[in-house]
Amino acid sequence: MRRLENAFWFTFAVPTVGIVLVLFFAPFLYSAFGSFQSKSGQLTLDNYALVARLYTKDVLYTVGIAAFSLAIVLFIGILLCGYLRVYGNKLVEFLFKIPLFVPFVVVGHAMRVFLAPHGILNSMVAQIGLINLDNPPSLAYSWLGISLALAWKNMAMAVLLILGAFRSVHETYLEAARNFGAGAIRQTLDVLLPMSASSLAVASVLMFTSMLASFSIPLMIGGGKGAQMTMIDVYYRITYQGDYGAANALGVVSYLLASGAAIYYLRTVTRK
Amino acid sequence: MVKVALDNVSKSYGKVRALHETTLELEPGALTAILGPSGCGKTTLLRSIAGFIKVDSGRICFDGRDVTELPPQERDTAMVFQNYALWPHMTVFDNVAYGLKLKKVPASEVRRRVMDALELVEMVDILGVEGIESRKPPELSGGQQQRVALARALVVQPKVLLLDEPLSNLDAKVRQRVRVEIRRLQKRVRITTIHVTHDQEEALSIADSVVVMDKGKVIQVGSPQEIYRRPQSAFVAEFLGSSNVLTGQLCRADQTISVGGIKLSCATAAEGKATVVFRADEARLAGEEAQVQGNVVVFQGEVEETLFVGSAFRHFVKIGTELVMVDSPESSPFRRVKVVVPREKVQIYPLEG
Repeated sequence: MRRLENAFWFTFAVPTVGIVLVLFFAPFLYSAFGSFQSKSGQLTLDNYALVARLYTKDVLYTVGIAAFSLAIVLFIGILLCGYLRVYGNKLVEFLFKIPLFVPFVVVGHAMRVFLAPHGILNSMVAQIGLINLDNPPSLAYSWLGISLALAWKNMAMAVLLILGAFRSVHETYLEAARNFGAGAIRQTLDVLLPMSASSLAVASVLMFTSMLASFSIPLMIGGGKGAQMTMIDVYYRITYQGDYGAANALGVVSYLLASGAAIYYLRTVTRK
Repeated sequence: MVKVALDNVSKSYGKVRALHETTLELEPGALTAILGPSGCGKTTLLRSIAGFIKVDSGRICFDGRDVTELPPQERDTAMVFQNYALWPHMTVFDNVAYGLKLKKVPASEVRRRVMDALELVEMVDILGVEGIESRKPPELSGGQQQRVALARALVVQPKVLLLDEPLSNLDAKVRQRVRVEIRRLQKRVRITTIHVTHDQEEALSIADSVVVMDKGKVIQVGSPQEIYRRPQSAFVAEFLGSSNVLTGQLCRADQTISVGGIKLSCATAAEGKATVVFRADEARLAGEEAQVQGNVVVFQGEVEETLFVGSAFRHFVKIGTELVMVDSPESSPFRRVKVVVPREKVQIYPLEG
């Protein structure tokens, strides 16, 4: 009977495991293997030497932008979700979930219009005389523009994950704090945040890895010059230079960065 | 010591009325138990006093000061929760000190007061100073957590201490012990204390005064003895102790009630159905042929089952179509029996409507 049950579950698991193997592991292994191949097919470390020489700055730039965007998302997300958890506001909650339904390209375009030198933001700021539109500063086409757009896009996911974690904290823990005079910020920082720390760590890792792999937003908002995010580099390496070896090496580096975060994720989950 | 008064307090959740024009005065420095079944409104009452719930109408006053619109922290109350609600990421010390830190009490005084509060609940001997500073609530037993929760509430020197079923998560033995400790502690600190519970034994054993609630209404208020000995309604009589409830038929013309196949004289202005209540431990069993004397009510019945419940044998006796319980120190040797109840112990309540 037990054997029959095992066979039953095995049969059910095969398609899922198969999909993971075919669609994730196979391309990954192919790409990882390709990163050690020259154009003529010989085994080499040249691709990694090229990545180290040309793209170290880009890798650091990518990690920096992802970390900065994550910091913005967490700062706003934690305070906002603390407010929503303590007071509740369906409208604000809905507004902050809107970005979930907006595609990356649309976010990129909207942010480009909003942050451009003669965009909506600068026009509004110029109205109150803070800047001169003859020589306007530009948030678009800069690392700050990319960070803000990524933060905007990820805010909805952050609200979903953080608010979920905050809502799983029983009301009495908040009431106990409120009883002593803790306001919404104290309840958030003293009770909700520490009691949701592991969920927050998981959410942070998911958002960080997603930002590392972002493509359309940096493509539309990033400046054409200077450091680029690694996915842009991968795109140019393949599209304009047909250099799959270096592109694969960049992919493996991105994978290692993401897996560092994933290891942290797994440790947090297993510690529970 | 603060006198807590509720004046016509009502609270509804949608169409459900949790509190129905509740008027109540709680003596200063006394321990008042709010007793009632689940959903009777007792927790809503407590949370309204704490300020966690905004009441729909009515006033809540502490020593004549209207606190109805005040937020929880301005009411000088402290609450001990059913699940203790100790913050699991903070040490015992930090949990107890939290209220004082928010009030910006100087660090040296915080330390002294935290230790005093933990001493009061006898936790210093159990954990030691090092344990207090390093151990977190999940590392403590339920009883220990409850003491820490009490210390956290007492350390801010509240005017009113609110206990929301604080013993319900403890096992029977620990519950009995902590119950005595709460009583002892309350007598020592003399803070007006409101203790919500659905356990009648707990309420009767530790309270100075008991408030029985049902369906959002206060049914009876009195000392534990009054409530137990002179219940003013079938609900209170049923809810307190192992009571038997029989349905009878009142007759105004000849001033009697027919119940369990017998007729009892009963001064009544009402007609129709009534509830007849007597306690299992106030009845006794006699053999079918036994002669029974005195001012007693005698029902004829048949023993269906006998259970040993520790302190007594509980007999389940069928009287007509109804089943009653009778406790006695020995198991009855008879199957057909007389259930003998002193007349003054038989309570009769006309059914409303």
